[in-house]
Amino acid sequence: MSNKHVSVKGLCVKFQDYVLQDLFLDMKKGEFVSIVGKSGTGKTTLLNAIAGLNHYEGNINKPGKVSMVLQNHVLFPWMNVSENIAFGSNTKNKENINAIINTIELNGKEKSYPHELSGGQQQRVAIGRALAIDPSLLLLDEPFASLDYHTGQNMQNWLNQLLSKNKITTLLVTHDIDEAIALSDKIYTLKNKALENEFTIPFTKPRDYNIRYKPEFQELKQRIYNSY
Amino acid sequence: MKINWKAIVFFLIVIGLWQLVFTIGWFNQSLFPAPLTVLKSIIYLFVHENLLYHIFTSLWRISLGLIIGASFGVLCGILMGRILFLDESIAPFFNILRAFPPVALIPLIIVWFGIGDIAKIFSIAFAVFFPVWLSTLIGSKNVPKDYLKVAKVFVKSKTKIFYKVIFPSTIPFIMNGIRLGIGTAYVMAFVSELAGASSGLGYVIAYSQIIYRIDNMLAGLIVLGTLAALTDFCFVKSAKHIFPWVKINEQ
Repeated sequence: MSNKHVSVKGLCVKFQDYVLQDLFLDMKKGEFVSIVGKSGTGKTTLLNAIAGLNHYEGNINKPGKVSMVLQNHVLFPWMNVSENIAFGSNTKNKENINAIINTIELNGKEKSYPHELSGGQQQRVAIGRALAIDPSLLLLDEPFASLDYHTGQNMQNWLNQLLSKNKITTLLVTHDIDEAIALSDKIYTLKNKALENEFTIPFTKPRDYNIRYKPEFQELKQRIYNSY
Repeated sequence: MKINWKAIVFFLIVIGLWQLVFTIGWFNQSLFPAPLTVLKSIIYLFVHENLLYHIFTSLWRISLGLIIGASFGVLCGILMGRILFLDESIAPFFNILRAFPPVALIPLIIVWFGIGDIAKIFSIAFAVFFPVWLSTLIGSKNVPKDYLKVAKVFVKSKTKIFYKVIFPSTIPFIMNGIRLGIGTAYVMAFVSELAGASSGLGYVIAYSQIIYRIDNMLAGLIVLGTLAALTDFCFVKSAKHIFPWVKINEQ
């Protein structure tokens, strides 16, 4: 039996010209895969296609519940933290929402509106909203790119620990190679409209922030950087 | 509540200049009464001319006209903003109607609806409709793409996307449209009560002109302006309370 949880075969997405062409991707259940590449190479387009937001040619087999976190959190300003988290879930089960608030460490902020939160807290709410639907596949579109360096690092560590516990199949697109190595099981580079190189990350999870000071980390980072 | 001292000082300067012009005697004093005379007229109108009744009559017409005009404005704005066919077919017609000065329609409205309350309420509703419609239309056409993207990822029901995302996203625009509509409603109430009315602030001002009481005319105008400003103030405060996330300029 195939252990593929997500399978993308011959994916083509065309706007004026082809942005993605003949792209293949397989992901195992619980695997964390990152796609790195330069700006404008089609990383977000790939996520949009998998989320069902773009027209595409080819085959995408994915599990039922797909969730997404965008770069700029995109919380609804008219909803408080609890309401934003509950947005996608059909259940109004308060215990479930409270459990998510506990997970994203925002206890006491349930009634706060997005404009009353810091950037890191806003992004945690966006992640909470994504987790609240109990997703089988989590899509992350440069989720920490709009945060300052320290907040971004803290959020990476927090997400690392969170996903090690929850084992959700996750696809991250980012231009930050450090972030990709710190979080992923596998990294692909997106170049020339398709995935070109595959890198398996040898470090055990959950990973500490200090891992990036290891020579192996820097050597891997250099190899990935040189590949695109 | 924070007191706006700058505004208070500016008001005092305006009243001071007014008194100065009166004292110097640049104008005929019967045509240009002093601020204190106008204040006395306001008190006189309240005590002897039943000004409160005229205020409530005008406010009733304004409220009804505002509610009717704004409701249709919001409904048409939302529908035309989200349904391209409706926008393309109806918007050009509305844009022609929008260019009509509502004041110029009053004689026609009197012919059609008579001189009763219906004509006045219709005039106000007609004038209020356009700023609310246009503002709502712009808002509902410009729902941020990221909001719709998130909505489509998490929610499959179009109805839920509409009332959870599209409509709330349009609320700041609706608020702006209604604020513009409040000012327009007062103008139209005044104009429609100038002719063919036996009550309302416009009537008080028109009657004061007939009996040549300039102080009463100014008193009526000041009461009208103050009421309009108070309505706007109350609207902004209520909107901020109900929708704390909407950024509304209080000025």
